[in-house]
Amino acid sequence: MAEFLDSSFLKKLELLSILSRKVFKGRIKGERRSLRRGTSVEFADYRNYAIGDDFRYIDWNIYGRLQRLFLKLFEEEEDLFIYILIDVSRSMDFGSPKKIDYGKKIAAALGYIGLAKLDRVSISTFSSKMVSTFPPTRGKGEVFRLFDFLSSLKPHGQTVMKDSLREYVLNTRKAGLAILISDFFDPGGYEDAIKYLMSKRFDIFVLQVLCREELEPNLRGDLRLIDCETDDVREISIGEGTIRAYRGVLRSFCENLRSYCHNRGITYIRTSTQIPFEELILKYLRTGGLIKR
Amino acid sequence: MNFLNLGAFIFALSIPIVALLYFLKLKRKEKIISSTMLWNQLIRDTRANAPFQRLKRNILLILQILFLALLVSSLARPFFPAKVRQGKNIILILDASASMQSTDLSQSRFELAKKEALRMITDMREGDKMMVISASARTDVKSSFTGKKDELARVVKSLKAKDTLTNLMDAICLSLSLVKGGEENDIYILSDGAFKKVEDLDTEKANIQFISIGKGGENVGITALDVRKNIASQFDYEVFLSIKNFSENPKELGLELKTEGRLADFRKLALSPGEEKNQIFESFGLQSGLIEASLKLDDDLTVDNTAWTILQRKPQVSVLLVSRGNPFLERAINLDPRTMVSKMSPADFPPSKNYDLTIIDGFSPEKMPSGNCMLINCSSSLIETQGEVEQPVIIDWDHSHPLMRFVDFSEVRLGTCLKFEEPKWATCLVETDKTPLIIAGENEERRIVFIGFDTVKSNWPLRVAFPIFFSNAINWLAPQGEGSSARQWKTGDVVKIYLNSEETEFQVIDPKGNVNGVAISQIGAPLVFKDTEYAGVYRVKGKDLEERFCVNLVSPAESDIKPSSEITIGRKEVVAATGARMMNKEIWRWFALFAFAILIFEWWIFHRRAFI
Repeated sequence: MAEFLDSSFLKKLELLSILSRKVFKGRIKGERRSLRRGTSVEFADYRNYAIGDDFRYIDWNIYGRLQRLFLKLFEEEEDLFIYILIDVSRSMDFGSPKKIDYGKKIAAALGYIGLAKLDRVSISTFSSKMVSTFPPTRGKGEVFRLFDFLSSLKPHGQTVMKDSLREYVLNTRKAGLAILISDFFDPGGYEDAIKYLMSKRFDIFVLQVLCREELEPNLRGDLRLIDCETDDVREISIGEGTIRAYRGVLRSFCENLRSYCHNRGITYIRTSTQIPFEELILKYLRTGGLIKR
Repeated sequence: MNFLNLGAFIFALSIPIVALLYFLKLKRKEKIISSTMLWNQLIRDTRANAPFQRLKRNILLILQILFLALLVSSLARPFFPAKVRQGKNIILILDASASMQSTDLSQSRFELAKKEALRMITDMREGDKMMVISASARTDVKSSFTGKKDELARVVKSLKAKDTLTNLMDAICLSLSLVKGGEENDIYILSDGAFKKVEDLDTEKANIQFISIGKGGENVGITALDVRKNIASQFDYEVFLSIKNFSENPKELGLELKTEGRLADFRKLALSPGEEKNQIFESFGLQSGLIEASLKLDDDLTVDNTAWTILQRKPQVSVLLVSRGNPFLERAINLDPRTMVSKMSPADFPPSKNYDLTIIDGFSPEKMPSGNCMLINCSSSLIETQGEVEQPVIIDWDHSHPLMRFVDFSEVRLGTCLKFEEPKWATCLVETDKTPLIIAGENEERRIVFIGFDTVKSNWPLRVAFPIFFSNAINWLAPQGEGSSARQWKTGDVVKIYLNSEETEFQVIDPKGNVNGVAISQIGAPLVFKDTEYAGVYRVKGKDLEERFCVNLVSPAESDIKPSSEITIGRKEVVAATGARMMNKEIWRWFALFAFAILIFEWWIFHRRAFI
């Protein structure tokens, strides 16, 4: 556990909870206020009495005033399914620090928050297909298992998001909050993958993780670039102009992803392994609307 | 199938080079990155957008087409007419005569000729060979055929102009004999053209080019100098000078005459263009020694502005007459004022001392005397007589020999004469119907005159030819007694002087101060000196002797320094060229080289994959 998060940081995380803009039907009463009219102690609203309703919930004060029967409605407390999807393709095993380690930390933090708030947390990994899954679990006691699972993750395979998420969506029965952690360097594109998630009516949160070597590549001269995932080779002579052009391409790529997400109501945050992890969680994710106190 | 240029196959080496280049790739550093996705996108974008990138594929095509075009062009052997100095075998003849010392241009003509020669050496191509010949009175091969440019340059730089005439005939003959058959031969003559026409030469074997050096010519020169005895006075001598203005402008000059360095006379002269004036300086009766005549003016050639001669007044010829008595002969010999005659009877022969000339009359000596001699009516080891001929009739005599000047034998009648065979060393001067009569020649470095009859037993002594013949004979047999002209030669001549000395080893010091050791074969033999390349006074030194002789240019041909734009060699007129001739200069090599460069560039472009 210390590998991921130190105890002081964990204490801070306990004050946070994950926000979901959608309300999902949960089976077990969690700590989450559901917009469904339930049987909790919190008054929510009135409705007209219908034959068969429980007499205990008739508001007699209103009857005394208005001579009409109204039923009290109460907020139902529900649990949230938080699905954390981590890209474990070989492209994530790049950078210093490695993107996958950074992603694991994010998953660990979010998983801890969810478990602390009695949300159901599931972590799934993918590359060219779904690789492994930590099944939905509830309760703080599962934190260690969650961390162990994350520790065991090894990067391998190429990124094929479309196939992976299609498989994932087919095998997931309950919708929830899907947090997608990846660099999104999928030659096949990310659009179909996100569409699959949208089709399951997930509340999607996209977190693009890049490393310094991708943002500011230190490449000059006559080079043979080898893709660590696909082993694709590209011979190129790189000068200052080429670097400028590359930054433009990267910027454009990220902007396209952001735009794609925004147009679909998906929250998009781009982060770099250079951003201190605590700052990401406590500041950027809160600002981004994923986390609240 | 034949190949014109086998050396071109060296370019076949480019084939493996090209093949190697095909497999050779630009060494690139490998870098592992997370994904080439964005880089591929970058490449696609720049290819699509940048005009240069769009053009890149076309550039390769253009370069390939250009390469093929250049290659095909080179195979077609392109050329253009150009002036080239070319020749597999090149013979350079540099005129090193006196006229080449003219300073009508910034430098002397000879220096300019050397510069031109050096330039021609630099222009030599691989495989060309050059020979350098210096042509003055003598022809000197300074360098045999060689392709080593530095060696040729060193030879050319060491050449010096002489004060002599130009003997181009010998130089061209030598060059033609040295050209290699079946090869390209060029002969270049670097000269001012101030030499006479070269006749009778077959110049087909080589291409002869004349490179004219020199522009103009403002020169006045001494064309003749002599000292002769005053006819009116036995003891007086007069100096005769001829001066000519070879320039196209009138000239005023001073004429100075010095004897032994002291000014004897001075005159001012004015010469119109082309005018020649004779000057006579009289009354040198009591003066003797070195006479120097010099022109005081600034002209383009200075070597002909001064001439020297030596006036000899003492009688020089000691004559020994060995005879039983021949008054006619005695009188004829004594007529010449130079002679100091001693008589001896045959019984007293041989003499105890040497004489300049020994005349043996009617007596056959056992041993020939040393020095020059005249044998009259006797036999000797030199000429074997075979009896006598009765009533010989003189049928012919040599009119051109110096001995026969003004001598007429038509009225001479003889009773008898000796019959003999003309020896190989002699020339027949007078012949009869049955035998030679008078012969003369040089044998073992001495001059011999043989008269094969008793002069007393003929009417010859009564003829005017008798004293004239003997005067000529003394001149010829004792040349040191000729007066001043015996000590004056032209540059390039072989000097032969008789020295009154018991020695055989001498030193000759030329006007430049160079010392040459010269030996004579025996006492009384003439001293022969060939290196008369410089005008001036030469000194002959022995242990007990110091003599002088003079060498002058005195040549109207050399003093006329106006350069010629053409020369005639054989039957051909050779017009001066710049040393180059128009010919097809092939440039296919450049095309091929350029094609190769394009190929390399195309390979580089292909592999470079340069981006903006």
